[in-house]
Amino acid sequence: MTLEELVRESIVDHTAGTAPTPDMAALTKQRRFPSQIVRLVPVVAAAAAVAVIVGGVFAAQHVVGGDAQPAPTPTAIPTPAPTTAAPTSPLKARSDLRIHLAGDEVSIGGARHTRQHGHGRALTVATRYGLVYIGDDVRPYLMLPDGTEVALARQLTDSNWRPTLVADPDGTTVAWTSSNDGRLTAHVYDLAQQREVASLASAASLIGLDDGVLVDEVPDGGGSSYRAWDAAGYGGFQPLRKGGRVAAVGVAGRTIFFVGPGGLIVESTEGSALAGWQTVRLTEKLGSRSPDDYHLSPDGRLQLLRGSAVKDDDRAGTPIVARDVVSGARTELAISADRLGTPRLAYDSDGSLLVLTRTVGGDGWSLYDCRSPQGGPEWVQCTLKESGIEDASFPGDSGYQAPFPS
Amino acid sequence: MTHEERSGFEAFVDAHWSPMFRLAHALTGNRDDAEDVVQATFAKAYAAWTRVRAADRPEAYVRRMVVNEVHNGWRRRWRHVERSVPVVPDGAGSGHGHDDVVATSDMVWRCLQRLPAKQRAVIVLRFYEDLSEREVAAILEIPPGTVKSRTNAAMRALRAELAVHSHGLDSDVIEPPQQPEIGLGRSPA
Repeated sequence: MTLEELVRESIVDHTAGTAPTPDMAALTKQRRFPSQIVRLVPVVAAAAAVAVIVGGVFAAQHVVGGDAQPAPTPTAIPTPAPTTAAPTSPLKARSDLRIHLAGDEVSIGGARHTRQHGHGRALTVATRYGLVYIGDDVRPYLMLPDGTEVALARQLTDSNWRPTLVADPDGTTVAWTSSNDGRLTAHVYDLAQQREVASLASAASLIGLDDGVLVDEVPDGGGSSYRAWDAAGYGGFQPLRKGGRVAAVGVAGRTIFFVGPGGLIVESTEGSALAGWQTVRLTEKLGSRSPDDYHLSPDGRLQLLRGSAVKDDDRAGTPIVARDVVSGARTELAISADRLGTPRLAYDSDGSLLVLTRTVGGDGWSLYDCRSPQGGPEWVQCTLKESGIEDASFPGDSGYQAPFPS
Repeated sequence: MTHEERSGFEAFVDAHWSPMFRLAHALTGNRDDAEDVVQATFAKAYAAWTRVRAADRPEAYVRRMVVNEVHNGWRRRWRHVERSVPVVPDGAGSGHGHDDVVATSDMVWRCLQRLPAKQRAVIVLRFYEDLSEREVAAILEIPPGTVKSRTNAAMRALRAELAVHSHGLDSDVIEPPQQPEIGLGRSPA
């Protein structure tokens, strides 16, 4: 048998079986958007200026362009009539929203609302102000705890291009990318100020946002390099480090986390573009897990490990563990039920740990809230907050489907 | 969309969903991603149905959309390029007969998934979809010469991977190389 034949047979073997049934309703629900180019007027008029204050988006429902040109006319987008409303008072940050998703529904602060602009596979991030997500019309929206939805910007692209979305979970900012006329731009939006605070030429995906620093990732030959933009600094993204055999997986607690083979390495960023920060290289085999699997706490102190569920033969699984990324100290999250399947993990912005899991004998998913370990005890008890949740996930868990045709 | 157009689209989905899913599975390496890819692709095909059905070969058009969808996913998740592949235990498949064939097939699949995305796409389209170099070039929007060079590079890489992990395999499972560049290191009988 030749290698070509072997390849063919292997693919046939491994792709055999019944294909999943198409969701015809979802297929035909998609709509095509007009191929209008949305031109974001460059915010940066001068090379050195990056943090340019732009107008309020909430009230006007527009992205406000730079001061060199008038703001562009908002693109006509055939979305359902928006329920967007301008908030009448400053947004209030909360630390106990326990945001999670149940299909197209969003649970925020104990109340459940249906998203008006995004389907279940929308790109989502949790913030202290509510859920920020990319809608089917490729606009970023903020869903407030009372269910009100607010458009934060105009359509981010009109092509089959996938934006990225990151948030500072215990801060006030979110960031997303847009692509228009072949130009990629990273936008930093301050939810407390209700305005975009920076628009930066970018080249790739965003890794994370913390304490006014945005880290992105740029293809560099066959590998990657990482750059940082500091709201307190000057200019745009500054080179931080080349990827090489490491990959960045998160930004939290004034720390940029990388993973790669070898032992734990903690390094100061002194002498680089980021003074007063550090980088931590976690020990992982590259690519052995999805970058989304590195559940780093907002303070950068902990990493959640999923453990394993109870086995088919009733052997006990292994517990979900919060591990101190530097000391390695492990704290078990005690859940008073036998778990089934792979749990989903997240942090609330108050630092508490959230677990979504299916359990033996339970219907749907259950939400547990666990205290953040502060050293000392080797386990913390988790409290059941909600059960019977269908199609549950945390923001950031679900894959994103771009709505545009290729 | 008229009722007739909608019926035409549904018939198209019925006819091409499974092969497109299998193509996506081969390209992505797992069923979940493949399902996402084909669902997104056919949704786009529906949105652009007038254009799709007007194509000379609508299935070829959608196949290209599948490849693009996968490629976009790779770009989004390009940090995954260094995928870990479970090392085949020493002696795996060291028996004879069916077990060896299965072990070899698994090994080839794993090695295939470890190829760089662009090389994997060429291999899947050339040897699974059985497309010509020119057809692959059209889908991937690259010159035919690049298809050829990527194919050769991919086959060399596959052979090298297989050579690393093929210790203990029954030599009958994999035919000796007809040409040096596609063999697995065993001399012809």
